[in-house]
Amino acid sequence: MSDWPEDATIQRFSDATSSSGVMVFAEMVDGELLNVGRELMGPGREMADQLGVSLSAMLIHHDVGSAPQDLISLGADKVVVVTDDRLEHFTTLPYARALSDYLMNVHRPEILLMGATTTGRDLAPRVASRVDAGVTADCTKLSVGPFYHRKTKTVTTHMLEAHRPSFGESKLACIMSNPQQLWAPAMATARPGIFVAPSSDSSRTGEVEDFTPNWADNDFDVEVINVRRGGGERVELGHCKVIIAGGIPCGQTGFREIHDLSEAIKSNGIDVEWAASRAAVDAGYAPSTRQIGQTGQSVRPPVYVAIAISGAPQHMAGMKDSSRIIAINTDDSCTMVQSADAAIIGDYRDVIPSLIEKVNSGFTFGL
Amino acid sequence: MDYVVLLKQVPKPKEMRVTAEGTLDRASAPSQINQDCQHALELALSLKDNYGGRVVVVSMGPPNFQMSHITAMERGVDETVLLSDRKLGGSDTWSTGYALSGTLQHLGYSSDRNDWIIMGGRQTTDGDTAHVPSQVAENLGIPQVTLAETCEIESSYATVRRIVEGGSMDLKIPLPCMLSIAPTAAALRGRNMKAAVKVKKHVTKDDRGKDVFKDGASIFRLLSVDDVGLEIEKVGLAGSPTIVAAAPKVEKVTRDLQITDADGLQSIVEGWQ
Ligand SMILES: Cc1cc2nc3c(=O)[nH]c(=O)nc-3n(C[C@H](O)[C@H](O)[C@H](O)COP(=O)(O)OP(=O)(O)OC[C@H]3O[C@@H](n4cnc5c(N)ncnc54)[C@H](O)[C@@H]3O)c2cc1C
Ligand SMILES: Nc1ncnc2c1ncn2[C@@H]1O[C@H](COP(=O)(O)O)[C@@H](O)[C@H]1O
Repeated sequence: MSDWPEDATIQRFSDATSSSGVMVFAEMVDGELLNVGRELMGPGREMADQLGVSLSAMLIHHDVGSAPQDLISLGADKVVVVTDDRLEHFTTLPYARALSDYLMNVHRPEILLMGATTTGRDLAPRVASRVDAGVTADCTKLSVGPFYHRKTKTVTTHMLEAHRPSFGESKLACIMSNPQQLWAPAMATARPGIFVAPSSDSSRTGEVEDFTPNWADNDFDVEVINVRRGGGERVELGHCKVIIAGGIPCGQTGFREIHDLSEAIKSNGIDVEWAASRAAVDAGYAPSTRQIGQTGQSVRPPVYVAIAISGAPQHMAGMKDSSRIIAINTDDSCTMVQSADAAIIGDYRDVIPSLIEKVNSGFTFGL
Repeated sequence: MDYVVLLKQVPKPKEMRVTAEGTLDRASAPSQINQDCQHALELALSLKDNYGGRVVVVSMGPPNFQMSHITAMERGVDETVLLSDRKLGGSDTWSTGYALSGTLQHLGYSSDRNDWIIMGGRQTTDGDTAHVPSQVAENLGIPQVTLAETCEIESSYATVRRIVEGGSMDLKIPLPCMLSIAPTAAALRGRNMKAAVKVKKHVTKDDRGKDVFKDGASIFRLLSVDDVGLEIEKVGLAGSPTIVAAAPKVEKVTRDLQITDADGLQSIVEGWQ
């Protein structure tokens, strides 16, 4: 998009929209900064430097602890902090109030980034409609560049280029602000685990600004009755050489066999863990700390064995980059089988015992 | 109680084609009710079974969306409304949220009545943003819960379970409100003979042999941008704050699938490097 005629009018996005700076909404859950917020400080800082503007971060939580300093160490020039006892768990309206109040009444950044978490994907569009801004979902690449609008012969420079997979991941669409409806901030949510958090430098300094939104009476109308987040043992799956994951059809018995299979592999000296799909976790066959996928852990082991898992996009999101995928499924047309390197078409009840037998006689999944 | 379902018809995911401008070629692809919208529809129908009331389907799209409306009617939907206008072509989610909320207001759904609830799907397979429900809710000034899996209604509020990272949460949300329904909710029921017979009376074929509602069918309303009173500068390609600037193809990583059994697996795996 960098070719335009010499007589084109040139304007800078931030001038045309009276906005400045890059902002990252850094989500906190249970008093902890989510990784995706740290990750976004990477592209956030990079774009701010390219644009020659400052990078700020926004925290909204009942207790932010040391998160402001953490964000400054990761590259923020300023951290805006909204705290209130009623902000322990995310609900849309108070968060939308805090953000939109700040954007409309204190400072309007030219770019606003959020994690594409269950929170970010709920909040970003609501805020976008309230403050009149364009928003792009689920980006995997962020950059800045110019756009030439043929109809009005106008080049708008220093615009957010929000890239996202589309049409079944076969294309990478680049979404930009519409020159006929130039509004700031240009908003985007970005998938967790895509960007790499910058290294932390505790000698960096920055400003911390407390902000109290003008709460409306009904902002707290939606009540959180209870939250179930799989506490208990923390299971690190990141380092495993083999992950054996089970789906909902496995049931209690199948998961016992999956456990046996992973124990058998372990006794061959292989670093292995067992895991589960969300459906299996919801059914109570596995703790949520072992869930793989969009709302669980993301892994990329040398070998991922998916037993009776259909391959829903939210599951694939957490394991599709595994070096090798082995699927065990009765349905040869399911996504998991179609995305695998090798598949055994059959009932797990028959397949797992024969795999255990192989492992007992020395099979190590090639490792 | 009115259960309003925001329903979108989408090209069957495997048969989507993209035009030179990077927009979807909807005209030629076979279509279906978007998967997540089917779950929203089912939830609305089961709430109607439990608590009584009416299910009203609202869509924005081309006239051929009537196909999905007829399918929905055969499941027990009471009325469908289609906002259809060339001026809406190219609308992004901000504009779609504006246009759909305007349509709901036109139909009399306002925040000071509490005898209605809207259910949308979590996400569409073609728009693929999960933005529209939040943006409809914002424009209507009503609260929202996205990623809901279950919903129960108690006089002036709903109790819902929402998916979050590592688990779920239960929320109490006052009516009227917007829920976006996750694909982990209950699947859509089959045709209901009584309903199917009833809708048949209102259906005819268009000149291409596709099912459409008869002119003046009492169960279907076709609305235009002017009917609803939408501001023209807020809809369509020109009224949208975002545009697709480019859409280059990406190479998909394909794996060489080998179908095998436990014996075969060992030799395949040992051949991997
Ligand atoms: C916002 C959101 C976030 C989500 N996050 C996640 C996430 O992080 N992780 C996740 O996994 N899911 C997630 N989901 C849920 C996801 O959409 C699917 O519902 C889930 O992954 C399905 O789990 P499954 O494969 O175990 O079950 P199913 O989809 O029911 O698949 C079962 C499979 O087992 C096969 N099968 C049946 N019987 C046998 C047998 N006897 N032997 C062998 N094979 C058999 C079937 O052919 C089928 O392929 C999320 C959903 C939403 C909406
Ligand atoms: N054109 C439309 N007509 C009716 N409902 C829509 C439309 N677009 C989106 N929706 C609703 O919003 C949900 C999410 O869509 P999307 O934001 O496109 O992923 C869908 O499942 C529908 O319930």
